[in-house]
Amino acid sequence: MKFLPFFAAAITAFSVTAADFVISRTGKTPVIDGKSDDAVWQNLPWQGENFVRLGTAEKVSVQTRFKSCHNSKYWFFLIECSEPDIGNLKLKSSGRAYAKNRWQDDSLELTFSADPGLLSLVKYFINASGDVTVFDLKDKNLTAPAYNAALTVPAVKTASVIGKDHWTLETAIPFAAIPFAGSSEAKWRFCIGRNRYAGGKEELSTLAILSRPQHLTPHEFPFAQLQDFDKDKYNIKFSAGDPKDFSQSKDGYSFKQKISVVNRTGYFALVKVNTRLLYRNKPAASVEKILELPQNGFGSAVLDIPFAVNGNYALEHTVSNLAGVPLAFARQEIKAAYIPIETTVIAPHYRDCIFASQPEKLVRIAVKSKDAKCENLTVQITGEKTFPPEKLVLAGGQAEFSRDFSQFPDGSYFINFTDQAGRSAVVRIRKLPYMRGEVWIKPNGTMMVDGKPFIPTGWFHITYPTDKKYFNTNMDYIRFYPPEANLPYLDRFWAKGMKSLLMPYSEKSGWSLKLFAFSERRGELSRIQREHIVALAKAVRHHEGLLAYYLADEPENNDMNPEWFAEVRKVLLEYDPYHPCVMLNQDFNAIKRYIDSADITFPDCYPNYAEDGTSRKPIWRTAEYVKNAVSLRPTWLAPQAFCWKQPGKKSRPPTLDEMRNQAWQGLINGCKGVIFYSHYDNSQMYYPLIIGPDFIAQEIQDVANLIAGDICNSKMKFTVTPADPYFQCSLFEAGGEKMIAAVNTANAVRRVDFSIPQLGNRTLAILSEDGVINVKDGKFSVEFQPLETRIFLTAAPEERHQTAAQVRKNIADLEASRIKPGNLFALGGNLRQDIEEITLGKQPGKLRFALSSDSLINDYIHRGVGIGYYLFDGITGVYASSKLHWKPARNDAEPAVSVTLPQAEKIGFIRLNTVLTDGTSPVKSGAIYAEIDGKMVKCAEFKNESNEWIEIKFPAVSSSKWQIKITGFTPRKPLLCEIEAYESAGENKQ
Amino acid sequence: MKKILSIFVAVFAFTAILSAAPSMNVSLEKQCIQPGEPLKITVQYQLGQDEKISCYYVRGFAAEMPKAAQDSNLFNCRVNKKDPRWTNYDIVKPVFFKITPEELANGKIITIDTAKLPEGDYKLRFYTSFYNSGTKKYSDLYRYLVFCVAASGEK
Repeated sequence: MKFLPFFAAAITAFSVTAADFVISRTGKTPVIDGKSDDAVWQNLPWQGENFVRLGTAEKVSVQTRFKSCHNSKYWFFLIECSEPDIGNLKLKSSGRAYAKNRWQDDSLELTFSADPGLLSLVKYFINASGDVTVFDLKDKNLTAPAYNAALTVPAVKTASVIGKDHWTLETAIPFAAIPFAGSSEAKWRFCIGRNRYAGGKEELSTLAILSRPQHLTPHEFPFAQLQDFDKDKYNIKFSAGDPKDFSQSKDGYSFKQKISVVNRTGYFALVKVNTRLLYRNKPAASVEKILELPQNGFGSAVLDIPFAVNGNYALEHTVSNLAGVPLAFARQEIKAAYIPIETTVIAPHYRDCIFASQPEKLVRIAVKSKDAKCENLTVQITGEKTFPPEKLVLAGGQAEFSRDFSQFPDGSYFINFTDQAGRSAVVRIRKLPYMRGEVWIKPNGTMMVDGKPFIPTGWFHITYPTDKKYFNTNMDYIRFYPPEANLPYLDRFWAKGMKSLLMPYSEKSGWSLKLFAFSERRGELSRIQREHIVALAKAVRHHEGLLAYYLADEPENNDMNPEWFAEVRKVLLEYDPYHPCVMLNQDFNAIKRYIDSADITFPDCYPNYAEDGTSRKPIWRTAEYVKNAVSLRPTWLAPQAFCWKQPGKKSRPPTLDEMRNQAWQGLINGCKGVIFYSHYDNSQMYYPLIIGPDFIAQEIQDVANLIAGDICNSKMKFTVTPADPYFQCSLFEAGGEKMIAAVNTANAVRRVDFSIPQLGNRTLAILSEDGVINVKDGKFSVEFQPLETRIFLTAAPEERHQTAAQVRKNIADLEASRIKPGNLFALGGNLRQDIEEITLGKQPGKLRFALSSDSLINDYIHRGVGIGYYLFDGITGVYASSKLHWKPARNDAEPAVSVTLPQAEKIGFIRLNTVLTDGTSPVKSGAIYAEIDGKMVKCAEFKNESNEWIEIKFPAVSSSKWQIKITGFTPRKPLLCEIEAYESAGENKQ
Repeated sequence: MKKILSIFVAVFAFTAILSAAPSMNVSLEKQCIQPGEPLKITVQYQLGQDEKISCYYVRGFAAEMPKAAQDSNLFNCRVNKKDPRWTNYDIVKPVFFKITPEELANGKIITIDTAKLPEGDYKLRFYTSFYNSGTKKYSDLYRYLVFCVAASGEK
């Protein structure tokens, strides 16, 4: 719909080769007194003098001319209006602030735009006596140029002088008022219009020839070139939230107003925000705040604004630098009303929505009147259906209103609570029609999908769907544009039964976000951002494979504005109430700061283990994170399932027991979902990380019904010996069964005596363990090995899987198998720092390698090192991530891997593990070379290969330098996963 | 009773340690100054036993100064190649001084020459170095000086 103005602007831009007016910069500022005697004006020529009748090219007989200059803060105009009938000037609006009909006086209209898309303008109406009304104009998004007008801050200096045969206006327009936000693409346009009534009839004229009889065709306005204009300082953006927290004090009432200023000037800035409260256009209160704006960051504050009476107000915000130069203006029309009625929705507890798959349809609202005299309230339900008013009697100023909505038609309802003074508090309840795959959350934090408990388990960044049923959730940063392009992605995972989280930031620019760039998440949610989010929600909300919206990953690390995300949640809640918003944060404070944007909060807590047995955070910190998060919102946990490289220490991956420990610490403390971080990031190079999450996810799903149940710790007592405040334990109950989950977070043995009288005398099964525990009179004792997790069940899961001990052994065996006997090219498993050193040839005695090219050399994970090591790491097959496969550069016509052994070795058998593409090997042919007598000599060739393993036998040759050249291959595909070398085929013991 | 006494002793000892550490507060006479106008600050010092003031100095980071101040070659700087935002400028080199008992009681007024500071907004760090003759160790404290140098002609 914005097409036409853009199109028109484009045509105009092409048709104008130079500025129509050059506005010079002045060192001296004219005194705004309506007189033309300033030296500044004396040195400038008159311009204009060819005003035409509005909407025509016909020159008017009564002319207008102007002079103009600027000082980078204000745009100055001296405008002289000839007037033969000066005695009959029409000045009916004089003396009235904010008069909307100013244009019906003998007046001037000055309209400005710097927005290349002409989506926003500012218009000054100034009458012959110097009274001003200012409007902000925003594009209506229609085919023809049309704008919504809203009064804005009349921050302008004006003065007029009425002479014998003319009147003169002198004005200083602050650049801060002209919407351009320091854009380097700013195209300055302006137009002066004159509304003349003194002659007895309306005569509307303009500086520019406009095609229509109105002043709102900015694409036809003249261009101005502002000489030496210093635009950077205006590159800030102000935003203000809605007034909140109305309260009463002995002096009157007050409310809280959140303000934010985003700094895009490129350097540190100090700003003063002056906020004026206007009642009936007269100042009622004023608050001032100085904000420090970090370079490319933002500053925010909560203002406490007093007001005297309930009513409609305006808030006018002026942002200026400390020297008083205005940088931005904003005006809000608000309703300030202290309502002495407090309402709290008890049920429905989630999103004030009743879902079709939710069995409970009772609405319960706790009501409290702060007016001591109030004895009863009138309650009326309106909306989809209107009900007659009824009386709610208060006892001690309080009451609970309840109503069964089960027979109500679907729709929005407004429950109005009104006191005798006519003051109303309104609660909106939505009764939603059924949507397949709808998601709501139980009071205990369990996600319900179609009315059934759903405990998400999965990998972050898994990148491909899996058949493993215990991985039911997929989340990633992936986004597609247009919004509908997300559907095939959802389809792909849903076909395997996996639900997905989507980031709601679908935009055309693709991976490199522009509209939703981190820097664009610091102010308020813009109209166009909102439109994109709405479009995405409308496109995907019906997909059964959609689980939730993933709002951000640690936004606190990029100084993103919590209010921005809270707005995103509000928009999604309105357009898609069926899918919750998930917010991931990395520390306690951040969880709290961003909580308004979260239906589910998602702490990631990474101990980051080192080879020396230390960790950056103690493992029990996970429990602290989850406890904090659960106290605020339903919670999921992202345990560490990767090996992060930390400076100064050799990092190691977590063990199976450490991952299991973390996951169960979360569940014990009330988290209801576990998504491992991260399949993509440094996780697929170690068997504990390849296999561990599978095992943990499976056991979580085995007892998902109990995890979804309630935690009843008041029914259990336990004593830890020696005493350990970090020992974690909870009693879960669901469907008549019980689960006692306990985690030893210490690196030492702990003996725990449990007492759960309800258990009586019985045996307990142990999850992922053989054997049982005998309970006598509700008591039993257990010894926990260091970091051990044990889960006791009144009923064993129906299906038996591998025990934890078996999985531990399996992992140990696989790790050991990474170096195959006789494999002369084996490097086996190594820590991150060792991998880098080996790759860079810094570990003597280890084989060295070189790749002819490596498309992943600059990849996030392998930056500067590449993936060469992984050709010799002993991990092959389905587990290996595509990030660990060798994919040569596109222009590499003959990919080759060179290997230098510490000493000459006799080799007569080489095996290549290829990465199958469409079931066939992408490596077709090649040759093996060895250095003999200083020359590379071909030892063997292979061709027409199609199998996953290519085996090349040749007469054994002794050499320390070897090369595998690939001459025939499928281009742009990963080629190899592993290379093995043996003296002979008989040496290969797999 | 012994336990209570030991807690009391511990708290007293901790408080004594705290009070022994130097502290300072800085207030600006004006938050917005004209180009070249000196920046007057009042520094309130609290010194522990054996504490002496050695000097004060002022530093600024690129991320907290106007671009013009960063581009200029006006100040010695330690370039942070990894993250240029944290390139560190010597705005005022160490000024050694002795504080009088009156200044200790009423606040030391320090005038910082801003002649070299281009217009713009600043968040500089005012450091004081202290010397403890008991421990024979130096320690530094800093407080922010947040102010603006107005462009010529601005108020």
